[in-house]
Amino acid sequence: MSEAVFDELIHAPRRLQICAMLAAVDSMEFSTVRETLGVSESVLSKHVKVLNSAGYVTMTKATRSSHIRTWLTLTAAGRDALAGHLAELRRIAELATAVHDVQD
Amino acid sequence: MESSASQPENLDPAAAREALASAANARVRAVSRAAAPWWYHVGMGVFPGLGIASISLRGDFVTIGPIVGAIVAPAILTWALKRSTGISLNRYYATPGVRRLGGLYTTAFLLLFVAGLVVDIAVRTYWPLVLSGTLIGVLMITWGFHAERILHKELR
Repeated sequence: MSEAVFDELIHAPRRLQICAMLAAVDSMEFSTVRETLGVSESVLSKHVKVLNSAGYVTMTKATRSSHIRTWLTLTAAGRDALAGHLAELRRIAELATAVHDVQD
Repeated sequence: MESSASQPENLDPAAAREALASAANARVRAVSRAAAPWWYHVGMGVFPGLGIASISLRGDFVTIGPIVGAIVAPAILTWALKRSTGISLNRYYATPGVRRLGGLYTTAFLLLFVAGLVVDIAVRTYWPLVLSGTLIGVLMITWGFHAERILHKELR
């Protein structure tokens, strides 16, 4: 189980969604991620670049009939960081329940 | 690689719950898109089944049949699925439940194949491997749909 660590980089709403989507599969095509999130190409590119620089996501380009398809994969470091971040979010979310229980 | 671990500032439990819900929602959407269509599971059963049954035709079919049916055709189907969904996912190995199921089905396939082969060698007729291939094909289709249900349940 991953240690609960808040990750500022992953916490940005779009980046958290991108990582959560990629964690469920082996890899996903850039255009599929864009359609699923309902964001523009430039917005997704910006977030993917940030995740790629952090070593959380790798990009693989495949050319077919002069059309370039980019596949995104969450790295092991990315999976660990996401698991730790989600664990931290769960810990914070449970604080409210714990406070309510004490007050009751 | 930049370090991004830090302490959460101004993150209250409500915001944390909202972020968790958003991540869970994104995951569910990705898993929904990864669903394999019926033709994939049918093809993953029919081609290997035919490949095994074709061994009974003897000659070149002994090697070409299984190679085309059990290796080439499934690889093409998997490539077509990956291309049509935009998602790469090993749906026979991705989650613990699917892996357990795979172990059971693989054992059944091996037993059926060996039984078919042994009877074929013993009686020198075509039907044991045709029957074995048919049963393996039907089981593979069942396995595909069964694994798909478990996969989606566990990935969500």
